[in-house]
Amino acid sequence: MENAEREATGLRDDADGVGGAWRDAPCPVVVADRAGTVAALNTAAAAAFPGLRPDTPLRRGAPPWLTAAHRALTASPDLPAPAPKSVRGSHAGRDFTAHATLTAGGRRVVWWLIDDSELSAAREALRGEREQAALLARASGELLSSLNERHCRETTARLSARYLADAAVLVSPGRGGGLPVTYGLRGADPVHAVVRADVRSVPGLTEALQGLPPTPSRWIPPDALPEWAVPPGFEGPVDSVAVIPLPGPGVPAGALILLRRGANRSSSDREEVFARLFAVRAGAALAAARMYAEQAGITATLMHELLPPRLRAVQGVEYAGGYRPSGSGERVGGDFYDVHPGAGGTADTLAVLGDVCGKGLDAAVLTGRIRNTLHALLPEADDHHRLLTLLNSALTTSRHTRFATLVLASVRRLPDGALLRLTSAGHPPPLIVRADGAVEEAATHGSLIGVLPAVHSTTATTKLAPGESCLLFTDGITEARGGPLGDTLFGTGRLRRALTGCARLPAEAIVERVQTLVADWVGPRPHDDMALTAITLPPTTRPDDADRPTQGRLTP
Amino acid sequence: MDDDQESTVIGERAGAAYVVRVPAEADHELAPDLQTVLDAALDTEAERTVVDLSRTDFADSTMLHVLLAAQRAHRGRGRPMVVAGPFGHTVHRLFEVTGTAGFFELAETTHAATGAADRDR
Repeated sequence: MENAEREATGLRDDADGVGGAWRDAPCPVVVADRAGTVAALNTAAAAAFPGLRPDTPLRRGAPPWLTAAHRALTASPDLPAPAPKSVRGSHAGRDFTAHATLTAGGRRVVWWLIDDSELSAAREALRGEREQAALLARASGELLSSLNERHCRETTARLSARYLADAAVLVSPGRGGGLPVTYGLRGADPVHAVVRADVRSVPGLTEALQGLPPTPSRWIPPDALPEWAVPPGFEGPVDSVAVIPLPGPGVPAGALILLRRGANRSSSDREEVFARLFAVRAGAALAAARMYAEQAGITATLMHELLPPRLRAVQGVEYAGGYRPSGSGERVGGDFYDVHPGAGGTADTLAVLGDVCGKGLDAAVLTGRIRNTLHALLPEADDHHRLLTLLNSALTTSRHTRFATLVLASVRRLPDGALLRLTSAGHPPPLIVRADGAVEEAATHGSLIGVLPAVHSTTATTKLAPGESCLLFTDGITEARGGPLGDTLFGTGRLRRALTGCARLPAEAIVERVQTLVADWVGPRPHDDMALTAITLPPTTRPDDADRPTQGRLTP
Repeated sequence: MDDDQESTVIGERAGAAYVVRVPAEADHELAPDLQTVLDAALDTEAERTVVDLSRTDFADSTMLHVLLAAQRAHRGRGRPMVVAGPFGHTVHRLFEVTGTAGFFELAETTHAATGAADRDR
């Protein structure tokens, strides 16, 4: 029997005695002749393909892909000419690679079947991982492409409905009474809504919104899912629901309710991990967008509070202000100016222009404190040194060395001109433009505010005749870099030369001219905040000219 | 001297002093580096810190802020800090306009400032 089979397969014992070893080989081996009849098979083959029997057609027990490969191989009349190739296929949940060798002078084909199910599974898993990594990268890109909170929520809902479930509901932390939700439905645009709802009506949602350590996002039964938790237009019954927290840095960014129906209800471990990774990215993007929105809101509030006033005339003296914030985004700058008309319409008007060192919220807070303190100290405005001393002691703390420089200008209308008292507190001294075009630097100097234990200051007094002006400016003007090479400071000399041509001009025109010159000088290059205020006695005014007093506060 | 040396802050021991050499341009871009080196100076065993501004021909208020903070930190630790020249026009004017010259201990030259440290020993 054994000898007969050996004869039949054409597998002859060789000198080493291994010829029959194929019967005990761990991989299935099937021998078939050119007509497609099974000649022999080993134990492993009989186990893997129970339908196969010797002397019966291969097609009765072998998977179709193997039968087809055998037919293709034996169709060629001049066997063994083309080297047989291996083929791949699966059978009963296992994956095989079948290698063919020829025997018995080409009359028979021996199929060696290698079970590589594990390898295929690994390959499949790798492909899946790669797809998910690519998907996550794309999702991150989309999520981070905008700092607009609404857009970010839409993206999260849309991507969730496309990749994680049939539909998704993004629940954002509420700021007021309502619960902001964004509905994502596969193939439809996301929809925003604010619902009056109890978060406790969805199991796990309260915890997710509180940012508690993520519990396994198990799929929960959809029984008694409240109506608001199902996107409008969702067709068919909800078969399973999962709640996934969206972790943000420090604060929870919201939660996702994922809805699935029918065949999609089960969820593999890999999908779980993917959902979790997606949630981390979405949470980070949402938190960033929310923080940005809050900061932009604060900035807008501050900017509004500090909006430059349109300064006009007080007691026949013109005031004009100009401010150009540095181009560095939505940040509150440190330059400011204010004009406080004198009490009763006869007291001195106080103009203040200042520059707080630094930028951002800290600088804005100090700017606000300086302006408010100055406002409170207006009754002391007759004595600049005393005013600065009081301001300095109010602002000097041991906590920081943030400082401000400023210049005070008290303006008193005289019958034939305007008397100016000018005091610099660590600030570039004002420039006086005489009617004949001469430009003088006010002889004032003093120490900056907010750092030193005591301040010193020297006040300059000068008189403006009709047609003359005084210009207060921050160092953003003189330190503006530009020119042909782009790195030259605008400088005081250039400013003085520009002012020579500003004699007898209205205050507005002087501000505009200086701003234009500096803007041309700087071009598109970055620059610091630039603020300036012109105080002008018009050539033809008299003290009793109609006043249009404006209480001015101005800061970027 | 290569570009690196021309545009960065260098801190080094010179006798009993720790000398912080400030480059030509001391603006807001340099300020964080200057602060780092000045902070580091306080952690050394040197008897005093000398800020060498002799090469500096532009300095703005952000550099002044760093110097003011460093001066205060040095006082808090009982360590002398000397700001040394010769000062260029812009630096001179910055101290003058802001009225801060009196807040710092100024020296004509780095040599004078470091020499003072060695004499003190």
